[in-house]
Amino acid sequence: MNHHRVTCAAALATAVLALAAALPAFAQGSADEAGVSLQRGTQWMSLQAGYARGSGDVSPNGMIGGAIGYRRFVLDRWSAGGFVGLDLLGKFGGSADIDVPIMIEIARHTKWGAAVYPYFGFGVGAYYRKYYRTGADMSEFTPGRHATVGVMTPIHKGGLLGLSLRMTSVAKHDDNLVFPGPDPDRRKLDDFLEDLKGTEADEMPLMYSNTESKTQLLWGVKLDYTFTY
Amino acid sequence: MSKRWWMVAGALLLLCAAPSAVMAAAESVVTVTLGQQSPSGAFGDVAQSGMMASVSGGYRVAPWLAVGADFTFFRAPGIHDGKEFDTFEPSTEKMVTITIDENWSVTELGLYGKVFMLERGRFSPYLRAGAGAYSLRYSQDVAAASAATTIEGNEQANKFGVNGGAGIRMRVFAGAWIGVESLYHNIFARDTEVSLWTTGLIVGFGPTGN
Repeated sequence: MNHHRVTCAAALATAVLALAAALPAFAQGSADEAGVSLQRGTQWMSLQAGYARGSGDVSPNGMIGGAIGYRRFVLDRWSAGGFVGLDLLGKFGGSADIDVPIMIEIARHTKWGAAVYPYFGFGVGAYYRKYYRTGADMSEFTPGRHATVGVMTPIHKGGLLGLSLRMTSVAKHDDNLVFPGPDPDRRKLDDFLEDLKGTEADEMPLMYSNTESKTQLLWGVKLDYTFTY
Repeated sequence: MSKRWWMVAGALLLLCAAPSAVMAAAESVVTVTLGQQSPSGAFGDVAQSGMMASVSGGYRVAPWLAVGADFTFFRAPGIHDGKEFDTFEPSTEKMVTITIDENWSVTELGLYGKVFMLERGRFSPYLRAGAGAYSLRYSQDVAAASAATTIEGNEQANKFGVNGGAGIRMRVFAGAWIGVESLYHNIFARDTEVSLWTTGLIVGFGPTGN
């Protein structure tokens, strides 16, 4: 069911992106006036808001999220920037799964016709993850990596509106009273780094049917309003 | 001085004697690196040497400085990889003889800076430093077993890390480079030093040959 929902969300995002790519005839006239530049030195300030969720066999339905970001074109069509966001990834009853991403990102921008400005990029970041009102709350910073793709179209001079899809890989939280995850009492990677030292083969700590994934994908599909200058 | 050191000294002398290269800023390059990684420190106690592969994209913001991003993959057999031993299988409560398949793999996505110095002719020596997010994965599997066993699993963790080192490139022709690079990676794991050396051959391409 969850896989189905993720597939549907991905299909929806793809459809919206494709639609956005096909749409901008309406903005054709205003594109030249808008004078969107992808030249070195251009700066973008972005405000994003939309859908966010975490993947998993048992995970809550996605909720909402937002982010604010800055991009500077360090080369023609290449930007480097950073984003800070707040995502409510989902709720089971009153219990919430919250993510605060702090990311840096490099993106390649291009231009289709006069009014479509797609981009793709990747980045790394520190992710503040929190389980809230679970009866056993936890929070931690964890490193993560992400890929992003999006499309923008000018809506007025210096203003762009578009859609951004971001997929992030982070470590999965251990099992919680509310949110499922890997067994918290298992021997973890840091433990293996310690425990394997100096052991003979027949003394080494072994894993038995420990094949559950230890990483989680976080998805975000957000409307993006960008001010360029 | 040994013969090897005389050769190194001779090569350095040649570098110094070569005419200065005219290196401009605003050049970009994509580099592929293939080589070997050698675990060091505490990580050397649990992993063996293995392969590494990397792809990076960089941009020269000044004649002496380039910045960029890289994606690197390291793979290393575990220290017990391929060993055969007897162990107790909990699901059947019997002894079983297994050959263990033990592996470490690390992927890194990060940013770096390169400082070019002493450039002469076709040669560009540089120092490099960077930081990024490292994903470490440890896996156990059974390559062969005398009876059914449930030994199988993996653990994974994301960590921050830094790296630094040096390299030298030689321009083959405009827009194409070859060279060697050696980096030391230090990954911030809990209570343990995860560090490794990578040494690889590099091939670089860029529109104007950064």
